[in-house]
Amino acid sequence: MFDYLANSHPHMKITPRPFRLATAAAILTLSLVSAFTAQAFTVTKDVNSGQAPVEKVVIFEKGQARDLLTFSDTPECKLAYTDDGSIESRITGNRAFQFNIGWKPRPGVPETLNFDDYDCVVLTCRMEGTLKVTAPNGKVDEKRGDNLWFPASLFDAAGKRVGMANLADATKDGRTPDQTTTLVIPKVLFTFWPQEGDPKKITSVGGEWNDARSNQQRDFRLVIDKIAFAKFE
Amino acid sequence: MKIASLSILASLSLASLGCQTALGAVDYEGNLSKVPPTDPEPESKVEIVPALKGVHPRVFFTAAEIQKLKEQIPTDPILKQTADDVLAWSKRFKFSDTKPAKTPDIFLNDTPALALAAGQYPALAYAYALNPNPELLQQIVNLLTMYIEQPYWTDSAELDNNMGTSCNMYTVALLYDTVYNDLQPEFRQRVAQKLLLHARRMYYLGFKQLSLMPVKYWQQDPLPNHRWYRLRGLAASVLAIADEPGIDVRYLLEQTKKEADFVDKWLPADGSCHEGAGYQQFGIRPITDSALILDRNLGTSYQKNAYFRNAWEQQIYYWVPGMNSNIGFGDDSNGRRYFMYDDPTFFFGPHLTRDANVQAALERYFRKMSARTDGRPVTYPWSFLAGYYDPTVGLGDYKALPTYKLFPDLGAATMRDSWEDDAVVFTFKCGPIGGYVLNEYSHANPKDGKPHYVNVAHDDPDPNSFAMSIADSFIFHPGRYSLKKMTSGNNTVTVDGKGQMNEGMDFSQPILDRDMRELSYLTGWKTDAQGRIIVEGEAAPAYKDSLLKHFRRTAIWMPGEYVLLLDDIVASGQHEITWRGAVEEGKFVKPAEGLCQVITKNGQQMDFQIIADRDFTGALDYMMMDGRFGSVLLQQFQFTANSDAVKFATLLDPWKKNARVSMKKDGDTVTLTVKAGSTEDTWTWKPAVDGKTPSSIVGKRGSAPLIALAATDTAPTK
Repeated sequence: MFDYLANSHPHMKITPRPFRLATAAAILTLSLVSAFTAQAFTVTKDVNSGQAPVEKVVIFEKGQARDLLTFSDTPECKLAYTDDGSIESRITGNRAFQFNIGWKPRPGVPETLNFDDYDCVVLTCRMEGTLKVTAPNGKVDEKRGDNLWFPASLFDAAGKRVGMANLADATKDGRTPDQTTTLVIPKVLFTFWPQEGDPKKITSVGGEWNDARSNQQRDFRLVIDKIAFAKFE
Repeated sequence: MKIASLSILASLSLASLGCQTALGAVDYEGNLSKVPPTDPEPESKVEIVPALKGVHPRVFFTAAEIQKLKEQIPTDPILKQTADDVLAWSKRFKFSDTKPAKTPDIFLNDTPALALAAGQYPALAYAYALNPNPELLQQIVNLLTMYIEQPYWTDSAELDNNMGTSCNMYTVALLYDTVYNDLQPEFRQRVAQKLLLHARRMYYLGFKQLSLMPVKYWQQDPLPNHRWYRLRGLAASVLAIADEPGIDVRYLLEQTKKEADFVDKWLPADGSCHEGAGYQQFGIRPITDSALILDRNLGTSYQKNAYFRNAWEQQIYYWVPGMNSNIGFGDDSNGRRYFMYDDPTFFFGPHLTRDANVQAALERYFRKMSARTDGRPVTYPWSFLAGYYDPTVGLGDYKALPTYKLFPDLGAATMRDSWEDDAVVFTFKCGPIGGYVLNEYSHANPKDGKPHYVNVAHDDPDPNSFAMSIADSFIFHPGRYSLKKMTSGNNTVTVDGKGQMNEGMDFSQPILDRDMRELSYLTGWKTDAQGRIIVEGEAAPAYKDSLLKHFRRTAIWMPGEYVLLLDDIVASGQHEITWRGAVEEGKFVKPAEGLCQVITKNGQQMDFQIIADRDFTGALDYMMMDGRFGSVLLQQFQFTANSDAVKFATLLDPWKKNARVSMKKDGDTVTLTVKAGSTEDTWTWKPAVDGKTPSSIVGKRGSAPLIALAATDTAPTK
């Protein structure tokens, strides 16, 4: 009986020859090495290697020049820079909204991004605030669920959604972060549910919410410190 | 009937199923014109048993049964607490005597009807039966009046024949029967006529499929719980009014019994639900109620069906006590669960068998699943009073229950090392989609030259999958209630990224041009006195495009020592054959030796080792595990051999024995050596001779035999 790997490697075939201890030792060594190797697997991808993904395109980083991005918003989600250079979306009311953050092409930041070239989106952000809920008796409660179901979205040049990833799904504790946190949002979170947009022509990053109930008023502040497209290497 | 549209309808949530906005405007006149003005003469005589003719209450309980319950309550802690809770709640219950300004939600949507009409209002009947009083009677009359005044009991496209209607019929029949003797004759008549109206609508529009709603999703086979809800509503209604003056329900009684006979014939004897333990819980009460009320009132013996004796098993054996979650398959959400009003029904099993150990297991299940972490008091479900729970069975020892169970109809098995909170639980599944009984029904009733359509909407493309938990964590995740059911989302194998035939849908559809019993099935099952188990499945025919010739997966459960998972895969040509396992967090510890680790958020860790008979790669990638009630981002181990055949051996080390496996191959015979702690076992593994015969697997510890799987150790299907 031979080690199974010997059978699968032609170069290990044993041919008749004068027996010598050295030969036997060599065969045994090779056999053991082969067995060892055969039980191994070659790692082709490891998202948990401890290595941060390499940021290939940094769309925004706190403090960068303010003329590099374009904002599209509505009164329910006003976009602005904070004094210290973050992006803030002030989210109020209870109507559906969508905001978009586009970019001007520049060295290292092409006009459109092909999602095939990246594994994830790196988003450093926090979402402060609460939902104010008015009960039938007029009492107003402030509520904040662990998971606010607030997504980061990607859009193509035609404004069609390429993907939408719930921020809480990218956290370890399943909570929408209320403290500044760097989220590594894997591509699968954006692409699991097919969307109409062209993933090869991403031109903006955004956020969106559907209508809230009529007795609810949003009072949130989304603060973004970084947006980058990255790859595990 | 349009079977082709079933996937659309199956995809609708319970909430939206009855929602007219989802399915278009309601054609009231068109639907109701389908209900004939009179019923035909019955062909057989089906009557209320003589002792209950003209007697009320009788449908869900008799006066004698209530008297017995009253005698048991003071001495049984569960009954005592339940009765206290129910009576206290009934005193707080106030129902307006004025007509609601707008249509209440229970007449618009299934979910409120399930929660209120089937989940809450019945408690009023038990409160009144235990303590009749004018104040509560008035509230019940107010409630019944509201029901009388509503023109439709579900105002939706599935007009008056959906699940919500059946819940409303059930609760009205129960309340009417309970307070019957204290109602004015004229009011009795009004309620009875209303019940008759809805029984006839349910029968003709629903069971006879005359509703204008084109999709007939629950009428095509005997097992959908949707059907069971309607059976209970119909049966309760006609039994409650069967001898009311001026009312003739002889035909409806006959048809109700025919329907019950039909359902009874196809209940799986192992008590299982192919949709998973979550849906089993959802359907258990209406089918049990149906059997109980028909047996009590017609003298039938439906409750003798083995299904009722065994239904508890799927709940208990797929329960992870350290998580208070299921480790289930199909559309089981596998999240934290609380003990609800449907759950006491599972106590009906030990009521029938008088098995005190089972009673103890269910009692512990109740205690643990009721515990709250928010400090709020636990309210005992009213349904403990409903006749399923029998305190005379007594409490035995839950630890005496066998720690494994094979579910023949499902082609699935679970095993654990104990019943305690720190238990290691392992599950394995390789059954036909839908289970055996459902497929037997399908083939016994062909239509248009094909097997009859069956509803497998909540089944996953999961043959030859496994899952595992330790204490409070899933190690290999069992999945959630996916709305994109992929083989790659289960812990099994894909080929070139492709999975099994019916993957990719939100709600699965049957494969009608094949016999699903021939696509995936258990081949082997062997146990020994030490609790060791070998279970084996074959799933190659289930794969798309005939990608696989042979996919035999064997799990060897060595409790307290290790778990060995063997995959013998032969493809049709060269393909990427990928072994998949979903985990919260994974690590490649030592790829050179095949060593990996699973880590959970709760701090559990398990090492495992995977080796193969040829070169392969390992990837750890993100995995979106979607769920109807919440998704989670996991990681997935993906081990891939680019080959026409591969044998993987995976050694799981939940008991931290520093277990290691090595493999040698001589022709087709593989010898595995497993060292775990101080033991060294050898497993001689020979491939199956055909698609049905178990593989030959012989275990030895030194020269002493361990468990072995032989050609004769076939897995039962019934």
